[in-house]
Amino acid sequence: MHAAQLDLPLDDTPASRFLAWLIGGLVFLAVLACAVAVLAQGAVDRLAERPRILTVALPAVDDPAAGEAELAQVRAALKGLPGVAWTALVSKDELDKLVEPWIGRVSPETRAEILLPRLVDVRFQPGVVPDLEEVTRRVRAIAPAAMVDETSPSGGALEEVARRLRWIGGGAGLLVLLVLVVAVVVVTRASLDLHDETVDLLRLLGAPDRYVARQFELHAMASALRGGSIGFALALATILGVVHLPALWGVHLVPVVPRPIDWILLAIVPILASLLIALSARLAAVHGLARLR
Amino acid sequence: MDGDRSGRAILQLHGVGMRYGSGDEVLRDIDLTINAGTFHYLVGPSGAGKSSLLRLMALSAPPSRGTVVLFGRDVALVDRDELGRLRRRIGVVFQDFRLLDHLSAFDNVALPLRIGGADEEQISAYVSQMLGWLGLAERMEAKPAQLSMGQRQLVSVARAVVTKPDLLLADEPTSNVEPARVERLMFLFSELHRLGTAVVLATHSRDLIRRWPFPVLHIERGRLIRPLPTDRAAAE
Repeated sequence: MHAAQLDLPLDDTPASRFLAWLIGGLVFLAVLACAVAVLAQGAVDRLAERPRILTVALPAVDDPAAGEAELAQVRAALKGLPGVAWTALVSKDELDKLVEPWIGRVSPETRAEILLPRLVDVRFQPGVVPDLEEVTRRVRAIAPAAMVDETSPSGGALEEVARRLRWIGGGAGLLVLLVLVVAVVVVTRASLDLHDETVDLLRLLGAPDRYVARQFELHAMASALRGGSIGFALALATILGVVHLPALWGVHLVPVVPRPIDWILLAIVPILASLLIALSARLAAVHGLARLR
Repeated sequence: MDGDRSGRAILQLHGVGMRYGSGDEVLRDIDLTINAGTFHYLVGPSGAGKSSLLRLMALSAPPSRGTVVLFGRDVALVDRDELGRLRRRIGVVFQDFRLLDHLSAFDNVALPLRIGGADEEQISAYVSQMLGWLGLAERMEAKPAQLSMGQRQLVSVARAVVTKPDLLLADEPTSNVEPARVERLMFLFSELHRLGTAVVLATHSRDLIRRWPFPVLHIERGRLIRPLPTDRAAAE
């Protein structure tokens, strides 16, 4: 099939000419929606990278010397764990503040009467996920009554929002692509009806349905490349504007910036849209041609 | 009515009737065999059914009854792909030309070759040669709207013959062509016929039949009348 000119005058109809603009607008929206999803994923990933902290509670002991020896053994065992950045004994003052909500302010007199457990914070390297069971097993080999809990600071509402935005952005992107497919199918069917005499002529000249359908596919692909490029370029400009421009004035509207992988993922959107458009046009044409027999 | 040569039958119509929609039959009880390499005129008064018979032969319209066997295949039984393959062996010159307005004369003529999967080099050679031979070398890039009626008809003829079809169906192919070019067209059809193409040419022109004598199929009120001798057909 010659590339320069289609046998069907598909660019001569308002619906077909409008298709490129429609594709441009929808690709713009799809890229923006996916940008929300990838930026949200970036935020989730960044929060997941924060250092994790476990706190080991060793029961109080009567014999200070035995307690010190046990503590040293436990800390040595903890430092030997993979990914541990450091361990730190929680100071007596901090311990006092921790129990204050339950027993009130701790005075030097009462402290001697209350047997408080000794707490050791274990901080892991960023990105390392501690194996709680393994840590507990190792600690209890030294101090059988020890307790181990995760006390990492929570991502809080930000993490929850990021997780939701990830799904909302991805879902909106898919929805826009679905609308795009429906629009292409409707335009293809309308064009097929409009050009039925030309289609009839092509068939009389021996054109199989796949030849005629290819005409619609090529036209849709050309419209997708034209409209999709414009929509993608506008979306990129919008993303860069929203992410980077306010930063020039010291304002950070978006807490994360796109990573290289994010740009690659966003670039896939117009490519995926073009393939979907071409496939939708082809299938709609094949289906419509079967109906025209 | 049997083909008048002992050659292989390429088109057979058996008890064929045809109607448009729910109207009366425009063709009735047609029995006809066209053999390979034959040449027939199709004559008859206006409205007798010449164009309908050509449409039927071109597989452009289905029969309402009877069977059509083309190149040995009952066309009612073939699938869509096979139908396309059968149609690619037929060249059709339409009375109203049916050229695509948005394509140049070159691309209109190239259409059946592209559909058949020919490469662009081959297409360029065949189409240029064909249009040049028909005196349209200077008009290859012109759109149909920029061509005279006669030139459009020549483009339509070129499109029909460029694939060297096994069967050529031509509906009044010389009606709009200037007399000097009629000679050239008829030479072209005769050459195709000589090379093995079966030609069925619908015409009103007595002069044509007299000057290029071939068997005549006479149709009247949708029925084929037995072949007339050329001199009698020309006289009528």
